[in-house]
Amino acid sequence: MRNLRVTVAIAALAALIPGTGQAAFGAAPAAHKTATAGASAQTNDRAKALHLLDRMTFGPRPGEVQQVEAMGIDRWLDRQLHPKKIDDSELDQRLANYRAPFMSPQDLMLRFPPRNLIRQALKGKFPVPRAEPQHAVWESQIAIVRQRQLEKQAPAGQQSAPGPSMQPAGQAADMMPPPPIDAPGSTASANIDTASLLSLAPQQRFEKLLKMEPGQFPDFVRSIPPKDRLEVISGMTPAQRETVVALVNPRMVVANETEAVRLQRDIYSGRQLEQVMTEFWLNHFNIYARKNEIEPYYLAQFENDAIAPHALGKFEDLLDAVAQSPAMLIYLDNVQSIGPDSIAALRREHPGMPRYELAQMMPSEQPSMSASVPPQFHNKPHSGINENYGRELMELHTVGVNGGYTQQDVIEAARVLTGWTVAPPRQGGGFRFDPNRHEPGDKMVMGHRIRSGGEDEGMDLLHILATSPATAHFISRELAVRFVSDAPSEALVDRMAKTFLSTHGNIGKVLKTMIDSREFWSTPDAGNKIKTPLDYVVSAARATDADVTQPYRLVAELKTMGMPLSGTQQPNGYAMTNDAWASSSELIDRMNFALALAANRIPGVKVSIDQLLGPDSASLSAEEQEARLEQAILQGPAPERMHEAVLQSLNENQTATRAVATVVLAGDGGGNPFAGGMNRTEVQSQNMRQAIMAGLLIGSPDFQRR
Amino acid sequence: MAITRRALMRNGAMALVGTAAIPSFLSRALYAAETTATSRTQRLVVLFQRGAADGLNIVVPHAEPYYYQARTSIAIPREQVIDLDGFFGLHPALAGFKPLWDQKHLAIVHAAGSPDPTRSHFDAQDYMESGTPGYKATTDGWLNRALQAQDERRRSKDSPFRAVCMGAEVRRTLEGKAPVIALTSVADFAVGGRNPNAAAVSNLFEDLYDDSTSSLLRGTGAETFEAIKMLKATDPAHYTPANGAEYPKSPFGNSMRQIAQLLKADLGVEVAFADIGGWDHHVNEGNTEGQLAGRLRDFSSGIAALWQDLGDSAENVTLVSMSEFGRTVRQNGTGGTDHGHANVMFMLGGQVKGGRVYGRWPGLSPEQLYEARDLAITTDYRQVLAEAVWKNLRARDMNLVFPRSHVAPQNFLNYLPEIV
Repeated sequence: MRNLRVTVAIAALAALIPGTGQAAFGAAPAAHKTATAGASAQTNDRAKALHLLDRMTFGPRPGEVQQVEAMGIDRWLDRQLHPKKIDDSELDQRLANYRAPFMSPQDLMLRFPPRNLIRQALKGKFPVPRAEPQHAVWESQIAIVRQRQLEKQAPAGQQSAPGPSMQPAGQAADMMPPPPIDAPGSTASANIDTASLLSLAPQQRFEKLLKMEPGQFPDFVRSIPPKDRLEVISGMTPAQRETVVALVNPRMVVANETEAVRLQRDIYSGRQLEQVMTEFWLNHFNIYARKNEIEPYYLAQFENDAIAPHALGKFEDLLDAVAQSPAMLIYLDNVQSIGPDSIAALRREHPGMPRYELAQMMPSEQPSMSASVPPQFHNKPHSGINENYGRELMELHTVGVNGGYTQQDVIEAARVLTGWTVAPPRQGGGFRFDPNRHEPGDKMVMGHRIRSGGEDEGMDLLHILATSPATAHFISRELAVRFVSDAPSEALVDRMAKTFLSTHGNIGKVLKTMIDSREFWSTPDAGNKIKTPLDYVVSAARATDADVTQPYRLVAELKTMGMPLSGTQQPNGYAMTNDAWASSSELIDRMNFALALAANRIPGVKVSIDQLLGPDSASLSAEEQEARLEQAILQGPAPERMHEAVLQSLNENQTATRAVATVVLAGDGGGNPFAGGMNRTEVQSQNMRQAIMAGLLIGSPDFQRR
Repeated sequence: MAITRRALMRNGAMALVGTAAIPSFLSRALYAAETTATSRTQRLVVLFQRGAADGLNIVVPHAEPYYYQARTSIAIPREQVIDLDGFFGLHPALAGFKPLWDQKHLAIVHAAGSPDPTRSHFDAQDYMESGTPGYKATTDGWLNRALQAQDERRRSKDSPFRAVCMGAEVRRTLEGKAPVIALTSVADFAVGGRNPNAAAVSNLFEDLYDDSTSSLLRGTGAETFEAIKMLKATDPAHYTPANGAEYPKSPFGNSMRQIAQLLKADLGVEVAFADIGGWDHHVNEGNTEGQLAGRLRDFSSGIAALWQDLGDSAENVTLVSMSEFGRTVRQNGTGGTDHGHANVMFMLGGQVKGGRVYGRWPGLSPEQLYEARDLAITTDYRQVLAEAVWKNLRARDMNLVFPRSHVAPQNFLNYLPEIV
C-alpha cells in the first residue's frame, strides 16, 4: 500500500539524488528484490513523482503522476516556480462563474452592501445607488432593515427570536445568515405565481424579480422548496445570479463567492505549487472572516493582491503587502490604534483647538523616552495604542515567539505602526497612512532605532523584521513542518534559513533547497504527514476528477471537519501537524465524506466512477474494477488485505448499499439559499457497488496520508 | 456523613430561593439516610475561555475605587453588579450563576492564573494547557497526565469515553498517552451517519483501519470504532434534556448539551473538555451590555443548563473554568482592554464548597499592579486544578501532572471536601 509504493520508490530515488543515497535509505526494507532493474527504476520514478505531488500540490489528478514522471522532477518544479507560464484555462473557465471575488472592496460594498451602509442609507447619510440592479438590492435591504426595526418596536411578547446578544462574539448579528430560509409557512408570502415565473426566459425572470416589491424577495424564496430553488436562477448570467442572491442577503454573496473561488483554485489550478503556497501564507497570515461585518469584503483582495502575487516571491514584499492590507489592519485592530501624543489624540482631549496649537503641544522630536517607562495608569500614555498587530507581527508573522523581543518591543512596534489604517468606504476603503494618528518621535524596536518618519517608520520596521535571521529560521521551520515532517531536523531548517538569508527571502529558492534535500525524500517521513481537512477534501476532489459546479457543500464540509476557510479566530492559524487532525470525530467525518462523494451525495459535486474506471469497464470483473479504482485513487495497488477488505464490500452490498445511498452529510449549504438539493438522477446513475469501493478507498487510512 | 449534612444545609437555602433548578438528588438526600459519594465515578468538566476573558468585568471588584477610575466607560456600574459578598459581584449577564452561588455550589477564585509573563494568546494557552508555564517542550496536556496519574486500584476498566474533548480535534489540555475521543456531534458520531444500515459500512472501514501501517491511524481507528458501537447502544439521536433545561443555541450551548448527554449515558466518562471562544475584546468591549455581555450570557446559560440537566448526577461532577490570562486593568483607547495577567476561575459542583470567593485579592492601585498595568496573580491556576484532579479524579502523582510546580495538598484552597 502506501508504504509499499513509497518505500519502493524512495529506495531507488535515493540513488537518483546526488549525495543523498545510502545513508538515508540503506536501512529501508529491501522488499522488492524481485523486481527487475528496469521495472524498478520505472516504479521508483513514479513513486518519486507521487511523493512530490502529494507534498507540494493538493494531490494528483488522474494521469498527473505519469506526466510528472515523464517530465522529471526538476522540470516540473521549474515550471511550477514560474506559474504564469502554466496555462490555467480550465480554472479560468470555472472562475468565470464568479464575479464578486474579482471586484474591489469598494465595488463590493456598493453592489452587495453591508448592513451598516444600509443603516446609513436609511438615515440619509449614504446615497442609494440609482443604477439597476444595485438599486433593487439596496432597496430590498433597506426594506428588510426597516421591517426589523418595526419588529423591534413591537411589544416584547411578540418577539420570539433571541436577541443578538446570544450570538457568539466576533459574529456580529449582521453576519449571521438570515432567518432559516426553510422555515415553512411564511405569512407574508409574496403574491407571485411561482410556476409562471419559473416558466419565463432567464432575462425576463430576472427583470421580474428585480421589480418585486422591496423586501418581498426573501419570503418568496422561502416559499419555494429548496430542491426547486436552483430553477429560479437557472440560465441566468453570473452577474444576474449574484444579484438574485443579493436580494436575499448581499453579504452572503461576498462571503460565499470568496470561499468558492478559493476552493475552485485549490482543486483546479494547474499552478498547484503557487496555490499550495497561497494557502500556506493564508494560514500563516491568518485572518478570521467573521471578525466583524466588514472583514469579508477585504478577503478576496487580501488573497488576490496581498498573498497570491508574492506566494513564491520575496518574503519582504509579501510582508509589506500584508501589512498594508485592509484585511489584516482590520483583523488585528491596527485601524483602531492612535498614538497617545498624536494630533488625533490631542484633538480628542482638546476639541476645537486649532491644529498649529495642537502641534505645539506635541513632544519635540527626540527619542521616545516615555515609551521606555512602563505606562502608568494615572498618566494618559497608553490611551489609543492597540498592541495587537504589533505583537502578532513579531510573534506569528516574522521572528517568532522566541525571536528575542520583549513587551517593550511590542509597544514600540505598535507605536511605529500608529496611523496605518483603512480609508472609509466612500473614500475607497483602501490602505491609508493617517499622519494625524501617528505617534511622533523616534522608536526603538529590538535594539534598532527607528527615526521619526511617519509611514516610513513602518517600512523600516518591516524591513528589520523581514531580514532578521530569526525570521528566516521561523519561516523555514514552518515550511518544513508543512512539507517535510512534523519534527524537521535542525540541519534542514538551518539550510533553508541560509538560503532565505542569502537570497533576500526568496521563497521559491527556499522551497527548492527543501525539495533538493535528502530529508524531503527520506523514508521515515514519506507518507507520514496526515492530510489536513483542506488537503483531504481537495485531494479527494482531484483524485476522483470531480466536477464541482457548486463548492458550497465542500466549504461547509471543511467546517464540519474543523477547518473552515478563514474560520479560526486565533491569529496563529491551523496546526499543520499530525496530532491536530487524527481524532475519532475527524476520521468519522472523513469516512462519511468519502462515501457521500463517491455516491454523488454532495450537491454541486459530481463524480463519475465510470470515467475513473476507464474504457471497457463494463466487461471487467468486480475484482478488476476494484483494482482499477485502487490505481485511480491511490495511484498504485493497495496491499493485499486492504484489497480483500474492499472486495468484501461486494458481499455486504445489500445493507451497505442502502447505507451509502442515503448518506447525509451534517454540514449545510453554507447558508446559500440556492445551494441546491440533491440531484437524484445523479445519485441513481452511480453504481452503488462501485461507489462503496471508491468510498472505502477515499476513506481509507492510505488516503489520509500524503 | 458530611455530604448529607451539606446537602441538608443546601436544601434549606434552596427552599428560600425556591428555584425550579434544584437538583433532585438534594431533595432526595433529605430522606436518604446516607449518601456515599465514593461509590460513584467522579467526573471532571474543564472549560477553557479562549481569547483572554476580562475577569475584572466578569467577577467585578465593585468596592475597588481604582476599578472605576481605570475603566471610565466599560466598568459595570456598582448598582448593576450582582453583589456576592459586598466586595465582589457578578456581571449582570451572569444572573444564571446567582442561584448556583446561593445554593453554595458555585465557588470563585480571583486573581488566579499562570505565572508566566507572556501576553501572547498562543503561548499562554499553550502553557496553561500543557500545565508547564514557561516550559515549551512539554508534549502533552495536564488533564491527560492527570488520567495517567490516577490511582490504578480505584479505577474500573477504561472506557473509550473516559476522556472526551468537544470539538473536531483533541485540544492541548487533553493531548497525551491516555486515549481521548474528540467529537463535534454525538448524534453524528457514526460512519454512515444516522442510517440504520450504517454498521455494515462501518465494519468495512474498521477492517481497513485495523490494517493500517500508520500506528497513529490504526490506534485512532480502533478507538473510533469501539466508541461508535458504545455510543450507538445509547440511542443518542433521541436525547431530551431533563428538568426543562434549555441550552443556548450556540456552539458552547451545544458542547454543554452533549457533555450532559454523554455523562448521563453512563459511558464511563471521567473527564470532559470544552472551550468557548470570542473573549478577545480589544475594541468596544461594552459594559452591562455589549460584546462581553453576549459572551457571558452564552457562557452562564450553557453552564446553568448543564447543571439543571444533570440533576442527580451533578452530585459527582466538578466543573472548572479558566482563560489564558486576564486583561489590562485600564481600558484602552478603543473601548476595550489589552492583554493582561491574572484572571478569574469558576468552580461548580455537587461537592464544591461554594458561595465563596477564594484566593487573596492583590488590589488594583497602581503600585499593586503587575508590571504597573495588570491584576497580579496570587493563586497559581495549577493549585486550583491540582485540587480537582487530586480529590475528584484521585490522581496522586502531582509531579507527573504538574512537573516543576509547587502544587501539593497542603497548598490546596480546599474548595472541595477531603475525600472520604
